[in-house]
Order: sequence, then C-alpha cells, then structure tokens
Amino acid sequence: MPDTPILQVENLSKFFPVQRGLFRRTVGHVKAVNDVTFTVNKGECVGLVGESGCGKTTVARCLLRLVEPDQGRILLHGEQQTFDIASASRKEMLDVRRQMQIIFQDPFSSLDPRWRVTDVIAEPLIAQKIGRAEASRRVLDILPTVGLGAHFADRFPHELSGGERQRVSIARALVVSPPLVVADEPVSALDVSVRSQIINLLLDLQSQMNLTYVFIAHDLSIVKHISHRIAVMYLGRLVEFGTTQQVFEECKHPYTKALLASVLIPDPTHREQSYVLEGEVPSPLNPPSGCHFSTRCPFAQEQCSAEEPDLRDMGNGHLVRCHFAEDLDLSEGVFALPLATPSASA
Amino acid sequence: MSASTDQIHGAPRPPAADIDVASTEDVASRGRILRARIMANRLGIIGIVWLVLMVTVALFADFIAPYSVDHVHNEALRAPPQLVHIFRDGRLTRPFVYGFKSERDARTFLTTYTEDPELVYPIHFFVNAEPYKLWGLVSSNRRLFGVEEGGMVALFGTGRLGRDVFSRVLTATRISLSVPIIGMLISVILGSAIGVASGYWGGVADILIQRLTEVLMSFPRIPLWMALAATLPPELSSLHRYLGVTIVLALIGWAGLCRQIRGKTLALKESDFIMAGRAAGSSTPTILFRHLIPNCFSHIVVVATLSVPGLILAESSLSFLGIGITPPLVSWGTLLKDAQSVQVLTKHPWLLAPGVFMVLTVLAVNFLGDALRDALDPYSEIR
Repeated sequence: MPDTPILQVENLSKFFPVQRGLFRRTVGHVKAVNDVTFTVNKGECVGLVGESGCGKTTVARCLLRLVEPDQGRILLHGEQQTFDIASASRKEMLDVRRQMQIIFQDPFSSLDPRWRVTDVIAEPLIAQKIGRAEASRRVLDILPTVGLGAHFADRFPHELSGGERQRVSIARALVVSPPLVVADEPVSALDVSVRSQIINLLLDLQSQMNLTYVFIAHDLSIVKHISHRIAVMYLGRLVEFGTTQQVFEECKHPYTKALLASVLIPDPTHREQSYVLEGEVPSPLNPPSGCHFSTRCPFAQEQCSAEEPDLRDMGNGHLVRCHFAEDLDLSEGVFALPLATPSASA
Repeated sequence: MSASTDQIHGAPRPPAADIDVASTEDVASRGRILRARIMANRLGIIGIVWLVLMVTVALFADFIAPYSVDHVHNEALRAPPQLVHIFRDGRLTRPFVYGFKSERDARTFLTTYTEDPELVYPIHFFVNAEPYKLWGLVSSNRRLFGVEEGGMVALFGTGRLGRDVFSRVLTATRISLSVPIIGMLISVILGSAIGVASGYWGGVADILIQRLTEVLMSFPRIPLWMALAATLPPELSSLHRYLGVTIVLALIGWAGLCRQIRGKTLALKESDFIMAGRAAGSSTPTILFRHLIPNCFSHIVVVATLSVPGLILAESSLSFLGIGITPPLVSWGTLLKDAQSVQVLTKHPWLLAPGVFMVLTVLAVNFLGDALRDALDPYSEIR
C-alpha cells in the first residue's frame, strides 16, 4: 500500500490540572498524554494499546478535540485541505467531523436514552446541516450496512442489546462517510460472543468503504488481528511503535514484552511461563524520573532512572523508547522468571 | 411439547421467530410505564383528584360560589355553617336551609344563632344572582346554586363582617394556587437555566453562582421573604402586589433547584452520549436543549412539584402577616387573618376553613410529588 498519511500527530500533550482547596489552586498536573507523535496512513489500521490509565482514551478524545490538547499538532489531510485539529476554528471543526468520527467504548452510555435510533444516527447529518428528509433516507441506507433492519429506526436504545447498540454507534460514526474513524475500545464493553461479530463488521466496513482506523484496545489478540501498525503507550508516553510484525515478533521494549506475555494462549497444555509485571502503574501525577518504566522494568540500570530515553528508530520505522533496546535479549527463556512448574509445552 | 398439551393451555405456541418479533414490538413506552406507575399509587391518585378539583374550583370560582367576595350579610355576623336539609316533616324535598334566629346575650353581647324552623329557604340551581365577569371576559349573573332574595346560604358560616366564608374560600383558591404555580414556573425556568449554565460552562461564573445560591439558601426564609415583600411599595395596586409577591417567592425558590440541576449537568456533560453529540458536531444549543435538559427533565419535574407546598405556605404566611396579598384580592392566608384569636378557636371554628383547604392542598401536592418521584425512579419496582 502506498504510504499516504491521512493523520499526523505531532508532539501531542494533554495535562489535566489537579486543583485543591477553596480557591481551586492548581497543585500539579496529570500528564495524561505526553509528547505523543505518530502517523496514520490511508487505508491502514493503527492499534493503540496500553494498560488502563496510560492515556489511550485521552489521545482519542484529543484527536476528535473532545478535550482540548495542550500542545502539539494534529494534522488531518482531508479531501480538499489539511486541517490542524488542535487549532481549528469552530467552522473548520465541522468539516473535520465530516471526515473523522469516533466509536465509543460503552454502547450503553454513548446513546442518549431519550433519542430514537434514527435520531441518534442522524445526529452527525443534522449537525452538517443536511435536511431531515435526506437525513432519514441516509439513516435507512446505513442500517443494513451495519447489519440492522429498517425496523430498528424507531426503537429506543433501551430496547436494544449491547451488540445492537454498538452497531447503532458504528452507524452514527459512518453515516457521514468519514475516511477516518477512531474506535475507542469498541468491543471491550461487549459480551465475548458478540465481540467477533463487531470486529468482523469493522473489518468488512473497512474494505467496503476504504476506511482508515485508529483502533484503541487493551486486548492484544484483537489488535493483532485487526491492526497493520501498533503503538504501545505507557504513562502517557509512546514506548514502542511499529508494524504488527515488528511489535509482536521483534519487540524491543521490555514493557511491550510484558504486555505480550500477558496474552492468554488458548492451549490447555500451555503452562504459564510468562513474566508478570510487579507493582502498580505509578501515578501519572508524579511519574518516575528518567524512563517512566524503570520502576517496574526487570532490566533497569542506573541510567534508566536518571535519564529519559528518546524514541529511537531501530530500522524500518520501528520506534522504541529504551536505552538498551539494541542489547536486550527479550526471547522467551531469558525474560521468563524460572517457575517451579514442569515445562509441559517443551 | 406435544400437541395435546398445547391444546390444554389454549392457543398453540407460535413459532420461535414470531415470539421474538412480538416481544420486541410490545415494549411499553416510557409514557405508558409512567402512567401505569402513577395509577398504581393510591395516595398519588388522591392527590391528583383533589388538585383537579381545586383547579376547577379556581377556574370557575365566580360561578360555583353563591356570593361575591364582598357580599355582606348584615343580619348574620359570624353565623355558624348552615346545614343542608333534604327531609322536611319526614318527607324528602329539594335541599333547603333554615334561616337563623339571633339572640344577643345581655351580659357578653355575643350573638348566638339558632336555626329557625319557620324560615325555609329552598336551594335552587343555576339561579340569577350577583353579576360577575368570568376570567374578566364573559359577563354573567348565573351561579351554580343559591336561595331566594332575603334568604342566605352560608355552608361554611359567615365572618366578622357577615361575608360568606364558603364563597371567599373558593375565590381565594385562585390566588392561593396561582401564586405558587406561577412562582414555581419562574423559579424552575431560572433555576434550570442558571443551573445548566453553571454546570456546563463552569469556571468563574460557576463559582460565583454557587456562592450566591449558598448565601440565598442560608438566610432564614421568612425574614427574607418579609424583607423582600416589604420592598414592594405600599401604594401598589393589589394586582401588582400579587405579581410582586409571586416574583419574590420565585427569586428565593430557584436556588435549591439550581444546585440540583448543576449537579445533574456536571454528571451528564462528561457522559458518553454528550461526548458523542459533540463528536457528531452538534452545536451547543442542540446539546443543551436536546441532550442535557431532556435528561434532567424528570428530576426537574419532581423538584418543581415538591417545591409547590412550600410556596403555598409561603404565600399564606406573607398574606397572614399582612405583607402579601392585600384586599380586595383574597387568598387563604388573608382569610386566616380573621382567625387570629383564641375566641375563634372556641366560638367560631368555621373561620379556620381556609386553613383546612391549605392543609389538604399541601398534602395533595406532596402526594403527587412523591408519586411522580417513585414513578420516574428507574430503580423502583414496577408494580
């Protein structure tokens, strides 16, 4: 695929002030997103993974300007012009929203309980000043695309199941035919049985409508399945970015390795050999000095807590934020702690 | 399941596909559930019935009351309520009342009234009596009931100046209901608008508004009402005074609602569907008026309803103290002014009739408010 960027995120930062006391004095900042840079090419799916609290959702919300970014640029290469979402005017944002939409995580709270399905899906159209008649025609067009019958149009959200609600949510995002869709953990609130349906629907829609996805998840197996490239976040920072192959097979960052090791393998004879991260994610209000991961990293050296590593290119666009990325041997045997169980998989 | 058991249980079971369609299309709408829940609440029904009655009385007071507010019965001052009789000499007749025989106690100068069996005044319906102008539009002199010229019908007795308490209580319903309802509407509009603005935009305005409501709410109510009511110039016509009192009550009532709506707004504005609305590109008015306020609405309805009893009592207190509604307008509070002495309690208890109406109405509104709250509570059991 030719690499034409559609979205360029440059040095994006979002700090939430922490206020205390009668006069709401700012006593510190939560660095939810700290200097994040990545590019999304046309037609691909970029997965954004990390533990909860690492800033994935804040990135998504900044991309849509649902929270105001504090620093950085978000360049959307639209059909006619390029927008900087971080500084776009109200009028430009309306154009941006025609070209970029979001699917929310929880289909139970992302649909207004007092709106009928047809009104929910038509909301972006009405916002784009498209007439009511045309809007309801397009709603009826999009319903079968997401696998819902026309009779769903007059339902209220509380009459629908979780999967059906998420289909409505997808229809709402796609009704303006945006080339770029941000999916903020679109399946993690759903039953396992429904997840694969929704994932397959997203994949089908991607090929049908030639969509580009920014796919946020904490379930690595889903991300592996759907993404072309993957960004790993830890405490508001990007720690590794590369193709799915690079991240899954040749990962260079110990945190990524620990994440990958946490994936369950559906094989009853497989014995757990993985390294389990110790401790909690440090508070983003007061992140560790140097490398943010140094407090939990099994390979941490003195340099790690003193000096913050840069995001370095390890070749072929594989970016890693670790001082020792070249030297670490992250193969299974070395990484895993010796466990007392007999190695049945061997 | 075999065919024979199907027959025993009546109609054969529909195929599975049909069940699915039927069950999803049979979902009760919110309105239907709400109505069913209110209907299941007996106290709520009692409240609604009484309030409907009171509103009807207020609308048609001129017609239902046999006399105007200022009609004076010189011959019967502080006369007790007349009983309506339907039997005379052991025979069923049209309803009638007896006239009074008055005797004055030579020592105490108190007049006592006893029924005079010689004076019989049959009650006629749709009689021609004192003219009035219904809602200031329709002139008429037909009243629901009355007795012939020279007689008197005073179902709740008469007052100090010989005015019919029944007529006065019915007429007073207009003021005593309209002041609280209009006051409630003003305070709901103020409270929701300020509350939503304060919660949605936050910042300095929010801090200022919240401190203002705290100050308003920490004043003792009655002195504050009195102070505000005292600012109404005495030379105001009684109609302007009526509007003034309504606004005074509304200006204090909005604070509580404002805080509640602000809290709701704070919670809702972070909710995903508001985010989704913004992501869809909806304008701020759309988000406020189509997402936020409709989702606060059930809350607003309950708070508004439950604020009415307080306003009824507030208007009555002010009028009772003489700084609220002034004559010639009458409200339950001004009527109760006639019942200030101990003498009333012992000798003329019928002068407390407006108080009884007030208590019943306050109870009825509370019942209705509780019924609405229970019906709108998504966690309450469906009965």
